[in-house]
Amino acid sequence: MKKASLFVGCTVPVRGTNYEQSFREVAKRLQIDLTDLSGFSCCGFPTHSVHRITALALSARNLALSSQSSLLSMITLCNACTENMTHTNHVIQHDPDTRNEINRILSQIHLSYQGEVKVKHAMRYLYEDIGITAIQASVKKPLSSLRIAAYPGCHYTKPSDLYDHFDSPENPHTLQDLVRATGASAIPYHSSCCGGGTLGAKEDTALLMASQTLKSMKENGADAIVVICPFCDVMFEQNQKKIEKLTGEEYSLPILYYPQLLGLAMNIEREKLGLSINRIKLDKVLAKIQPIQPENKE
Amino acid sequence: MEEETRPVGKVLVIGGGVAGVQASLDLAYNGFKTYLVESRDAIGGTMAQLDKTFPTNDCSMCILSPKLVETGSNPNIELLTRSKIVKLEGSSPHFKVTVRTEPRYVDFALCKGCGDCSQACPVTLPNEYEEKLGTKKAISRRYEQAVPSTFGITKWETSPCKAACPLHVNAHGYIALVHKGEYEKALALVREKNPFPAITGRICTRPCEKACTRLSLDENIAIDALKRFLADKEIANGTLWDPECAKDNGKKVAIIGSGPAGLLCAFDLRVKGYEVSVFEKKNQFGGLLRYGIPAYRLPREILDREIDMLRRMGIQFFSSHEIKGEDTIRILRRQYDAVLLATGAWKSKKMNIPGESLPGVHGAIEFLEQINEGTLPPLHGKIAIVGGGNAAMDCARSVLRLGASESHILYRRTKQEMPANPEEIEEAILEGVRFHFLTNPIEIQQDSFGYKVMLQQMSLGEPDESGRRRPIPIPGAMQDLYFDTVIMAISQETTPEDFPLIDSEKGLYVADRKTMETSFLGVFAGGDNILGPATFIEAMACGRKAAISIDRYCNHEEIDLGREGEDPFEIKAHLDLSQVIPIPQQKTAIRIPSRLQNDMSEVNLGLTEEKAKTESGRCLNCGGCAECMECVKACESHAILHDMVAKEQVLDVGAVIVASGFEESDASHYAQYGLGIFPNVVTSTQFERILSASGPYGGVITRPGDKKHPKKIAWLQCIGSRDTEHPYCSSVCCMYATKEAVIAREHSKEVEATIFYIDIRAFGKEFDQYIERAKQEYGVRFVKSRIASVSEMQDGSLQLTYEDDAGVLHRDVFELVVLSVGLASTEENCQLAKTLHIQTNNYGMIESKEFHPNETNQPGIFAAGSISGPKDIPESVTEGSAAACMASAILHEERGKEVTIKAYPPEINVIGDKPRIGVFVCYCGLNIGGYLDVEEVAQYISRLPNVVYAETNLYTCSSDTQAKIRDKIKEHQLNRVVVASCTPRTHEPLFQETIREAGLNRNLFELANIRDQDSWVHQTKRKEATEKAKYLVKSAVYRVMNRKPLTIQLMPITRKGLVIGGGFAGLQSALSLAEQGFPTYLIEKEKYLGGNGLHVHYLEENPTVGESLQQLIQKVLNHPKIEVYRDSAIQSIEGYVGNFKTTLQDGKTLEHGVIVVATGGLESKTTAYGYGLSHQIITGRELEAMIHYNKWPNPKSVAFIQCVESRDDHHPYCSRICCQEAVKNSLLIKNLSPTTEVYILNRDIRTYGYHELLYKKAREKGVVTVRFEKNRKPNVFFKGGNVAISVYDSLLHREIELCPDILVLSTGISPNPDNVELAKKLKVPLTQDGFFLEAHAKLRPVDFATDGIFLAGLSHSPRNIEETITQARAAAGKACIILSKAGIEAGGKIAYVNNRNCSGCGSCEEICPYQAITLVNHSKSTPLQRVAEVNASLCKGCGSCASACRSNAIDVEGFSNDEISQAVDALLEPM
Repeated sequence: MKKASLFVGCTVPVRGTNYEQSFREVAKRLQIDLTDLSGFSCCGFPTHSVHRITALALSARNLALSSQSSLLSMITLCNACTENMTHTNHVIQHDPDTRNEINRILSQIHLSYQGEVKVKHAMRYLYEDIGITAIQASVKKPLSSLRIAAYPGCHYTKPSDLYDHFDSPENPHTLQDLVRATGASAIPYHSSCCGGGTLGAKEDTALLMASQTLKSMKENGADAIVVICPFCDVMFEQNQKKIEKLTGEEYSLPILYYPQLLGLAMNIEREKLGLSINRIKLDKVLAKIQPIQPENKE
Repeated sequence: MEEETRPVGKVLVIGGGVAGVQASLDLAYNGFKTYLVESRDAIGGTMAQLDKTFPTNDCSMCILSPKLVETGSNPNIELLTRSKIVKLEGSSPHFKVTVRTEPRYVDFALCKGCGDCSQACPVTLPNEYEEKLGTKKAISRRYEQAVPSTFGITKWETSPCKAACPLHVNAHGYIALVHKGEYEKALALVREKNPFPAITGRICTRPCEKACTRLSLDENIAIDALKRFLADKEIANGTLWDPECAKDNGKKVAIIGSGPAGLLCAFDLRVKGYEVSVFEKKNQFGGLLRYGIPAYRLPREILDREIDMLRRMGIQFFSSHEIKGEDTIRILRRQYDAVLLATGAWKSKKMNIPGESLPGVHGAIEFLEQINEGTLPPLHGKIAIVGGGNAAMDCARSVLRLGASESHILYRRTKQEMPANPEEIEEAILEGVRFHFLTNPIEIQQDSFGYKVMLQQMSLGEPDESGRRRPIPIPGAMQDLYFDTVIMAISQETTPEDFPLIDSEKGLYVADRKTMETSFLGVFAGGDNILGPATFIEAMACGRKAAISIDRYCNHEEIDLGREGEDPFEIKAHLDLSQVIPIPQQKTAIRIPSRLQNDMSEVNLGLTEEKAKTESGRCLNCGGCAECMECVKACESHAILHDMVAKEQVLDVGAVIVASGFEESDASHYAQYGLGIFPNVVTSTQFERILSASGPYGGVITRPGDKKHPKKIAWLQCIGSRDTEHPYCSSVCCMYATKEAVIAREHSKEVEATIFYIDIRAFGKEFDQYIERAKQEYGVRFVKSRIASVSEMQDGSLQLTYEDDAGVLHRDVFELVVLSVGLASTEENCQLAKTLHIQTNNYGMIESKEFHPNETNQPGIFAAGSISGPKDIPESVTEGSAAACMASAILHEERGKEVTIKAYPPEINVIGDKPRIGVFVCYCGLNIGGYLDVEEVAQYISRLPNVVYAETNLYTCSSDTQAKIRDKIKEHQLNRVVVASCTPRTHEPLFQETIREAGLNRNLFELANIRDQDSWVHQTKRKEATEKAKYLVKSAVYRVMNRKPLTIQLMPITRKGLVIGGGFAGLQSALSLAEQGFPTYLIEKEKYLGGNGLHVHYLEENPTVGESLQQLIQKVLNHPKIEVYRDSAIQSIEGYVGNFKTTLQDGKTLEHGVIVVATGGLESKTTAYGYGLSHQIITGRELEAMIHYNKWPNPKSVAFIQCVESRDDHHPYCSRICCQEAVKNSLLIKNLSPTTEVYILNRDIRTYGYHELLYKKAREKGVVTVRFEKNRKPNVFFKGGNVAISVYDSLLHREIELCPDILVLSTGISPNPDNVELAKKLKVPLTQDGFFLEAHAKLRPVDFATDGIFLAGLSHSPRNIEETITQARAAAGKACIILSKAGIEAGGKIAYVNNRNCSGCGSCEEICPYQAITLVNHSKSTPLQRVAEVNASLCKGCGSCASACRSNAIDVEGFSNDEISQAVDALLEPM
């Protein structure tokens, strides 16, 4: 049993409960003991551009809580949480002045933090700590009929220095490997930014950016998109109808969070994977997973 | 010495690219037996795929092909293609290597390379040689000029469709044949396993389609519909099929039951010659085919037609014969040799619910039987059918045709789980059948309204063992429906109550499932009656098994021997479907009658021809070869063996050379560039194929997406190079991209070519000049910008965003984008390294220690070419030679021990004899024979004067024909031989060898090319082609008529070497020569050995150069075979290859057979940038000395200026090493004083290969690079007594000023000024820049055109120490080839002078490229008259002199003017 604290962040519990739910199910079967710590706050990402120290202190506080409970491994679900917390760790480990400043702030609530908690995105955790072989072994029903466009998003791999270069920032492959572990094929497609970062500033631009990726995924025969960040989900799933309206093209590409895909391959009851929360109908995808029927007579 | 450790004079070379080929040739010529192992079908490597080579624009294949032919025909090189190393044991100098050779399925000895098989093959696969832009057949040759030319079959495993079929009908094969339009052959292939295609094509349950690989992508191939299409086409043509039967064997078999099992068994046995009688209890034949399947699905004329075929074969059918009871069988058994019980399953299963025996409740089978017998009373009202299989659909649809008003299906699961064929369900829906899913009858009651069916509502639970979700009753959810009739279509069972062989519990005959034997001797059972209710196709499979058993039984053979093989093959998925784009299945047309009543005509109308072709084209060919055996039928020389297996052999070798090359980095990983996603983004190798005249588009620049001809092409550099995964530079991409742009412009002036680059790395010999030409003459545009991503436009063109030189942002659209993909290691190479226990670096490439290029960590295993890092062609060739040299050094004592030297009979003297010519005209299978009348040609030729014998052969090159030619020479005392066949390019040496073996001189042979130059080009004009052939052969006969034997003499060799120059190159060359056992003189003009090496102190950051140099010098000085002459200069060099005489200034004369020129170069002197005006301004070498001798002043800042007086109009070449030196020195500075600011002012940073890693490190340590343009060089001036530089930074687009404490000028390398004099003495050429000019920039990089003289090091061109060492070894290795020869060959087809005609003008001397002609005094009596003299050992017989001679005094043996005139006369004079 591996132990880790689970940091769900803000968007996942509101807009991605299916992500959280399915990950908890999958984690159970992969022998990951997840602990929810009371008192987890904002990861700090949204305040980063406004007040750096606040952002760092917010995430340092979360990390300190994990450390206090002797959980030196923290799993995050959202790419933004992953980036900000990892960044904080990096600053605390390498910049003594900022470390002191943050600890001064933390000391007011009787906490201190020295960078000892390792933060990993849930998928990186699966890839590195559980391993492809173990994941393959957990698969009961290989999804060999599915063609998946695996979309890792930006802060899963970037900046790569922060992430110990565990995956290539230019040519990420770990999510594809994870998809392949379920038996599905990871198709090539032309990928660009999901547009999530621009959504608040200029909606049309953001939607057009997402449309390019959707178009390529569609053209290359994707059955579904696999995402691992709630922001990508917002762009590809929750805004897909809007994008279709804007571009006049129909995509109808269902979105799955990776743990949902893995859950299907593990043959976990569909109800437990929160599939009903997915906005774009999964009928076709689920129909493809049906086993080939044996026959009786002519 | 122990056998296991004894040195072996054999070498293993792994990899058939240009490095491996060069190494193999060098080794073989050096007297070592060589095994060349190649994993692909043919040698040639990547070079064979290229269109042209830089910087000479030579055709790549044209210069490579002769080398490949040479390799293939060398008796001491054994080619092992499709082979891999699986194990290495032992150690240097005796390894034991296990090599595994995968089957080629074609016999090397028998294959003539004619290509008939490929023509016949229906399977088209992606062509890897064409980088998947084109296709190849499943049996093919890698490329036209491939060596070996033997074809090979691409076979993966049994295609799943074929494997899944119970009869193993070769679906893949007939699909492929349909696609090729070979319908008759396709149908014949079906019938090899299944004689009933028309029936099967309509009603089969299609296990093949369920196994189809496409199913996991989109939809399966409509395999059954294709089969039906074939059968229907034959019916439409009105042809009848009558299978061939063996002669009657006198044995009789009775078959009881005429269902599918019985019919197939009857067919199989009749084909074998049995007398077969079929007994049927019904009055018509076909069993459940007739009585279970409605006519709208299987029209009766189709059924009758295929049963009639059986009748025509002589099978006797007895209707209304019910065989019942054990006694009847006993009686039958006495009359027949064997009996088959195939009585089927004719009883519907019951659900066992109350009310099932009510009069209006029927079993489906009985119901269908009545329908098809016509005995069913008219129907009316609502009818319910319980069940979801095909029988249920048959009932549901039939009742609507028989008067029912409504038809309802009651099924306990959902539509998805229904076992019926999907289109049956769809058609039923269209016909108005209503479906009630998730309902299960639990009771049927009759009341006044009719039959009340009480239905339990269900839901789906967990999947059961069949994989379908189990229906679970929903408690309390019930529904009642009323019907007039209820049909139970659950399943069937057998009714053989009267047979004694029954297992009463299961209701089945007791029979062995494998052999169909029952406990009753001679009685077999097969079909539904033993399987339980099975499918039509499974029943047929039973029938077949029974037929095999009956045959064996009747012949008293063991019945169950080896029967396991009849069961399905293992199916493995291997295709990567992620790149396959879904295409929807072609649907068959259906006809739903508007009024169903009484309309029993067929609903499914099958596929049209057009649809069948399209549909068959969807096949993914998952098995590779479809095993349709068309190739076997097409091959006239019986060379194809589909059952060939892999073999392993253990080779004893003394050394191993690894040269298995590279592959392009997989650029499809970089999704942002769109490779594999946007069709008009291609890789550089793909573009080479696009350019190639033999490529997929015939050399017309075409983009793959829409086959349009692009006008605007962009090249993106550094894809898969200089990034996080491949941080090294791939060295060759800048040049090949430029070459591709130039060639593209040559192909079409309309093409606009733009190259987006980071640095242009044109560091090789003559490379920068090439780039300049590309810019100036060809207008190729170079834009310094790394493109971030490519996006596709509506029309398939591609949009790029970039910043131009002025910093302006552009969005530009290109019609084609070429990715200049870098070189990377292959997975195969990594595996190989593990197998050989050799170390690789982080990038999977072989690692060598510093100063030990081409060595691995395993003694005796050497690396050559791109396996150790990116290399271009000449470097790979050089490394091939160097590795061969190193292997020879270890094994030199074994030289000549393992090679074959053939013994020949003495030559027959033919001089003075009347010509007696034998002519052998070849059919070349169909290649010649198919297009002209070979017999007529032979007859005509036999009548020509002096022709005493003429014959024709199917393949004149086959080994039995060689024996025949030798016999005929003896029998008819032939003294000249002509073969009329393919081409002398590949086959002349073979026939010359044959006549030599028969005692004739090789020159007494002539080949008439009637294939390449006749039958192939005039395929539609048989008569004219025949005439032309006659002329061509006649011409050859005339030409050979007066041919004289030519002899080759061996001249003695002075087996010693001379090396000029004592630097790194000279020292290493001398050492390598001596290590191979040859005494060597080393001449150095200075007092000290070491040359430029004395001034280089650091290799990368290590101060080990001096030490290594001293070690090398000591080795040379201490070597007993090396004589060193220091402080010596050469006065004169005389003689030629094998026998040189060199006189030193002190008068001493040295005799030697070869020369290696290693005179080095100099650091250039300069006066630019204020050099000499201030102690602050120094050269690179001075800087290095400063650091080395601890005089480093720890300055605040240092600036380097690169390309000082280089790469400009005066010195156009790049000195190659200055960038790596500057980067190295800047790192040394940073190590000594980390705070020192370092600036490198450059035009491009040319840190190619792994030097890029150093450059990266320097940048990380804060070294700043500033780029300036060629025409805006930095300004150096003095400011307050200190040096200052102002430079326009072309990236920042502004002028900046630097005030360094030290300014380092990278002045580059100049050629040695002594080269000019030495070149004259050696009579060898120099380049315009003053370096020595090698024989061929690509393939002969260390040779001079003049035999026996070689070059290495800076005398060749600028290069670093490790490259110099490699080159020196290569030069020495080449020299050793000459020194180890038996003698210098002189004579043969060479020029000779008729002194009487010679006027001594000297034209020939001037023109001779090999310095083989000199003017000499004619005789002592006429000292003023000079005549030309040919040096036989230098002449190559090129004929330049003969064409230059104004007085017809010079001629070439074997190509004399007389001979050619006669040949021309023969062509001109009428027949």
